[in-house]
Amino acid sequence: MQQNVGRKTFNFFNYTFLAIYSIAIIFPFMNLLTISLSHTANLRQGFQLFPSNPTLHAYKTIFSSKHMLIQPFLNSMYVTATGVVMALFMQTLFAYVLAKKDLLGLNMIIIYIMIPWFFGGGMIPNYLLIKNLGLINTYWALTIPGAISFGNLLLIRNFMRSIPDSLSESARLDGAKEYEILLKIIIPLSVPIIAAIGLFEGVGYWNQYFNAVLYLYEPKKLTFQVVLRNIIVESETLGKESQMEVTENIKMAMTFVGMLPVLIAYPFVQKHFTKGIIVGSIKG
Amino acid sequence: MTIDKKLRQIKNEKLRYTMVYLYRWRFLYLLAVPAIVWYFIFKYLPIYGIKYAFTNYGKAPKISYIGFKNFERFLTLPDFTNVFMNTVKISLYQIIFSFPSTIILALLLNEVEKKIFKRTVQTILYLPHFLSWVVIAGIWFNLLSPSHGAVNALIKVFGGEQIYFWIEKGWFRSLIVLSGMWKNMGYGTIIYLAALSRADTELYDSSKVDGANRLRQTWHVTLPAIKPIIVITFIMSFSGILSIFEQIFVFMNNMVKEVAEVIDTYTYQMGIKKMDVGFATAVGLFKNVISLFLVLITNALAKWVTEESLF
Repeated sequence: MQQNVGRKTFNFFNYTFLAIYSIAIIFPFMNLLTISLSHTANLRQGFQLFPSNPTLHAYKTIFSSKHMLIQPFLNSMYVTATGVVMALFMQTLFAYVLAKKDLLGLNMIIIYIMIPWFFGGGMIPNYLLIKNLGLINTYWALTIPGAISFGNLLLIRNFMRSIPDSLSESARLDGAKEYEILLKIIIPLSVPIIAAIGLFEGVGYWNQYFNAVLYLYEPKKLTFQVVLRNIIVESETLGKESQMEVTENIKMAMTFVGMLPVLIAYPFVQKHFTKGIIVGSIKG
Repeated sequence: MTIDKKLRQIKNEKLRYTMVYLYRWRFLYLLAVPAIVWYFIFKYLPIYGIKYAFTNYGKAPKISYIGFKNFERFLTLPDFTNVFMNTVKISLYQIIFSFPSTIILALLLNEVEKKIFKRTVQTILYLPHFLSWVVIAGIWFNLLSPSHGAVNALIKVFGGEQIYFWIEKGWFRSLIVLSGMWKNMGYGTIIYLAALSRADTELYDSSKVDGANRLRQTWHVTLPAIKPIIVITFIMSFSGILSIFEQIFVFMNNMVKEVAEVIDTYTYQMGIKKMDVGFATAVGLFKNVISLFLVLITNALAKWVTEESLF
């Protein structure tokens, strides 16, 4: 394929631009890592691209702190795990119902779930509801209200619809009951979309911040993102545990830990992109 | 006889058909019950709570209805006007800058021929989208730090004074837009790239035969191919302009409050922190109604101008 001069020039500028843009995205991360690996004394020396004397001091400090890292981290892990299970359970089952094209009353159900998409209660009525349900300061407040999302329902439904009807039909002819069809045929075949949604939900639950601020007040129940923000913004001392001051390297080490689960999950998320699962379902 | 055969037989006896049908598919209907209950509790019940917008809940020991007094109150409050304008300004800036940029970025990415390069760039660009705003705040506070941040270091190299970026009112809006783009622009290209990959290669080939160069091809083939996506994305972005929240919440501080306070942070402040529940509910209702209007109007306009719409 012959490329003319115009095309070559364009490519040159395009590739360069994208490379620079990519560096602009990566650079803040590098900066974060550098600070997190620096000695407290070096921080006052101004900007450094690489740490002059890399040290794990900041990380050691935070990992030995139950109050600052271990407890909130475990709390967030718990919320994420229970949230994902609940969300997948509710969404997968409901999507299966929605997937049956000619079910009597399906249109009514769809209208029923679409109305709240246009108009909702808002922050205060939702808060009042949680309060009236007695769920303030519990993890249920963080996992249940967000369990079902319309977008996810569509994705799972579309995926399930792409499974040939003939499979279920022949199973029915063989005498399989409806629940067997769901459990033994549809769900095993839907594992790709369930896994993809599960990953996205997991990231979402891990990153959850405002709901935790709104509904949790007990210090030992706080989730990681809440503690992280308190440390970044207020430069709190570690409180009861030690008199150590929270310096920049500690802040950045904590921020890195805040990203860690996402970074670990990211390659798997990427895999689903290249498989085009999400993309293909957008067609539907 | 199997139940399906029976169903086909009694197709004309409407009532009996319905009863047998519901029994035949009872598994599915049972399966739907948890979700339906969930929707009722967590989506419909809060709508009922909107009634508090018309009460003095939080301001008086006994709750009683006060009609539209809450609405009168915030509509005449200069603080609220400021909050409303902040919300609109920040959101509009975000749309004006990031909407076209995302499309252009998608078009540029689409032109990359070397797959490895494209894949690598995409991997890098999508990452910030998956981080929480708290983490991003940590990163960006650090980046713009007066003492050891990269940006201020650069400024000092050119002989300038360090800027305390995050407490300067003049910088806040721009920083919100920039950090927002850093986070979401890469991921935003996905939906356009998907549409572009489905573009009809025949159209490209025939336009080449007609002598179109790459630029004309882009205008006449590429852009029309993604027109529906652009319209849908725009409708959704535009109708959400009043809803910007968590990003602001994380970056806000007392020094920049005047330009930073948006409708939802104001609702939080008044309703949760100050327990002025009726008033805050009224503000929330106001915002929801206007957002609904925006969706409908933007959708209608889009249909009228471009023949594409969300619904």
